[in-house]
Amino acid sequence: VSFEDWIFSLHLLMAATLVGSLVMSWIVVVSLLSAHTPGATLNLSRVGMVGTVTTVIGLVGAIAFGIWLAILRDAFQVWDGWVIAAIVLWCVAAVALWRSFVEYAKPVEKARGLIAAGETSPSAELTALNRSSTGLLLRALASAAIVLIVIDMIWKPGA
Amino acid sequence: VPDVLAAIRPDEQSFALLLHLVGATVVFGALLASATSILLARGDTRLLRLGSPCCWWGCPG
Repeated sequence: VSFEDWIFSLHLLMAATLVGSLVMSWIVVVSLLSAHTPGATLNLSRVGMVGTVTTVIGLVGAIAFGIWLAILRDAFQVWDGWVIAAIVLWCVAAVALWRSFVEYAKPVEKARGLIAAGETSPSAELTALNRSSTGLLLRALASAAIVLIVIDMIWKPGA
Repeated sequence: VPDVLAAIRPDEQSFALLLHLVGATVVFGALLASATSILLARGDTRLLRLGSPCCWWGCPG
């Protein structure tokens, strides 16, 4: 097993971590739709935080090992069209995910504020934040970009 | 080895590979969500239900 094979394995591991974490975060996001109390919101956010950390690890690891692999391999180069397309899609996914993390931090802050104020009953404002359409759209955009990256990696158009 | 495998993989297998990867990552993500929910539940019913695979199909959360 060569050094290049190890980099390829780590690239695949990071990619699987990224897509798996996205699936996990979708499960949490769907669960948040029915969270009306500060306690439920904070409990789900704890699970979501694990997904956020693994998503970031997968996002950074996949691009780092991917570019390293493109440099190591003679069969393709970083400036190949399908590699550049993947990098552009990665940037779209990274920005959309970052903005969705910011969006989903809002209900957590609100829930902490409500608990600090001694309010543990359902809150209409908190429910609205948990059902943020902006967060859902950003998450959907990032997921679409990552699915396109996987398709690009499998078919390698133009390679 | 991966170069050789990629070179000998017929194009008609690409869609099957895509389905295989999507399925594998969905299972991985679902297991990660399940394990995390159960580990962080601290007795919370909602997280225990989320962590229980049998509940995912009908009543998430």
